[in-house]
Amino acid sequence: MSSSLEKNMLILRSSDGEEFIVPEVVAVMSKAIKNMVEDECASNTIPVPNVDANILAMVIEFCKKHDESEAEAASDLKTFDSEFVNRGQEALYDLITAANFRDVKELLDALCQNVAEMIKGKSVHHIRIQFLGYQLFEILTSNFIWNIWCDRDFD
Amino acid sequence: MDSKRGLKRRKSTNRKGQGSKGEIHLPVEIIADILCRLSIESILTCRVVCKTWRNVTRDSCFINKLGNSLYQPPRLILKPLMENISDDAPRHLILLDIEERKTRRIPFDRMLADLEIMCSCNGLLCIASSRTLNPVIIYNPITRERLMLPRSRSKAVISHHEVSFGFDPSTKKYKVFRAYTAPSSRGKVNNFNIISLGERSWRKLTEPGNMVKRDVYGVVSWGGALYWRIVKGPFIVIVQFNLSDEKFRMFNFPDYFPRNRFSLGLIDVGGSLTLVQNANNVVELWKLTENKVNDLSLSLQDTHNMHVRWGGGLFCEFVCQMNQKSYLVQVGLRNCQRQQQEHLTLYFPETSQYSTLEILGLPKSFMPIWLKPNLMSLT
Repeated sequence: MSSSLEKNMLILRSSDGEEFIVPEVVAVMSKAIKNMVEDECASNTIPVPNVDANILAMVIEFCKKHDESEAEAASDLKTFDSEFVNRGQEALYDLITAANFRDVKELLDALCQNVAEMIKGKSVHHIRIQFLGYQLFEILTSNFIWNIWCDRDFD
Repeated sequence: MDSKRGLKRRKSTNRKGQGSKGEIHLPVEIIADILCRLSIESILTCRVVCKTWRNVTRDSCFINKLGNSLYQPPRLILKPLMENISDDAPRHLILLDIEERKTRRIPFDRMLADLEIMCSCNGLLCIASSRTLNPVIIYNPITRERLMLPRSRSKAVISHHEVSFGFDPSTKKYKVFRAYTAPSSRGKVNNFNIISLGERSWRKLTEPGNMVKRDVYGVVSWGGALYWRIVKGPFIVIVQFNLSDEKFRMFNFPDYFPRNRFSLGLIDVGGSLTLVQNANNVVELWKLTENKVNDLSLSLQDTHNMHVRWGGGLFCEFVCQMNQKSYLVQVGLRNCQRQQQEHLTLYFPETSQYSTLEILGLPKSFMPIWLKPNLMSLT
């Protein structure tokens, strides 16, 4: 691992050019960044394409909290996680993409759990409207075809 | 993987401005990760949301992941029993979520409804008739997929037909075992067949000396072996059939094992197969253990006073262990044809408390089967 960096800090550059100075221990929570750090020791500015400043700031906030609170009670961290991921659907989607692309396991875990909670107990129509952007009229017209296409529903 | 209509939608939302309708197009592996965290009922709902989600739930990787998932809580399958003998068998099963007290009907066609559920293993059921050799069916109640086992040629009238099955870890295949009484054998169960899923015909097994009397307590499939509780006069014998080496092992109970018993359950308690012996108002839990040379032994784990004198039509069967402190029991009245009513009740041994579960849609009389639901494919 690279140790030449001053105070073990890294610079992450978002897709829209903003730079964040982050301790290395926090940055390497992303496996993708960890691999880069291990491979190319020379540069200490790491481009993070596909992730804009807004989302990158959120990801860093999450990783910082997780790094600091390693010793803290797990329940505190859980509350933080559930509050952190409780965002609008758009931000949630961008965060999932970023976490998946940058391979941040803890964040991806918390986000997937959050989406799962959102799906729990909802009807098919509700899920289609919320997650697939269906409109009500589409549901009404497509229902007939779906019922033929799918195996008959359970209830 | 994405359907045509999915692509169309994406275009139209882009024109209107970014994702104002909250549309989510996620990578397939993320969808799988999310769906894996849901209960089986929610997964069944999600299966019909769109083609992409449906294909995710059909993927063998997803099915395996779900099978090993810690999020997936166990369920009870209830088979409603006929209230009057003249009635048709109810054509549905009930999937019961005990925590939420919610039921969901699973349609069951007539052919299956007229048969008996004889054994369950890893979320699959084995369905057959006690009076005829054919058909024998392995059924996944969640996907409603069925596998018909090869038919036997013999059309002789038989009795005491009992089928069970389990997973053989050595060959990684399910093996189905059957025992029955041929008409000329004076009530002795003397025919034993076995088949692995995928094989074309049943193989005959040599007759084990002790398995001649019909078992009144059914068979349990547990950890690569089948277990019977066999009553011979005042004695009880436990017979184990190891699915790997296809050998029977008998286990005679020690002399100090109480003779007066009212019910004998065989359930999983804290990861060990446990014999639940319920006599009068005392319940005893005996742990079954197997040592390296395959000898079975029995040790008394717990004794509880249930404060209810069971018997005389009032019965109490242990269904499963709910958690460290409670068991799920089925209580009710039998032999009392007109006023049959059965309940599921939580029993807390330490405090000797009972708490009847209020569940809407519970049939008057039913057979409970504990299982871990999955989407395992039978082909």
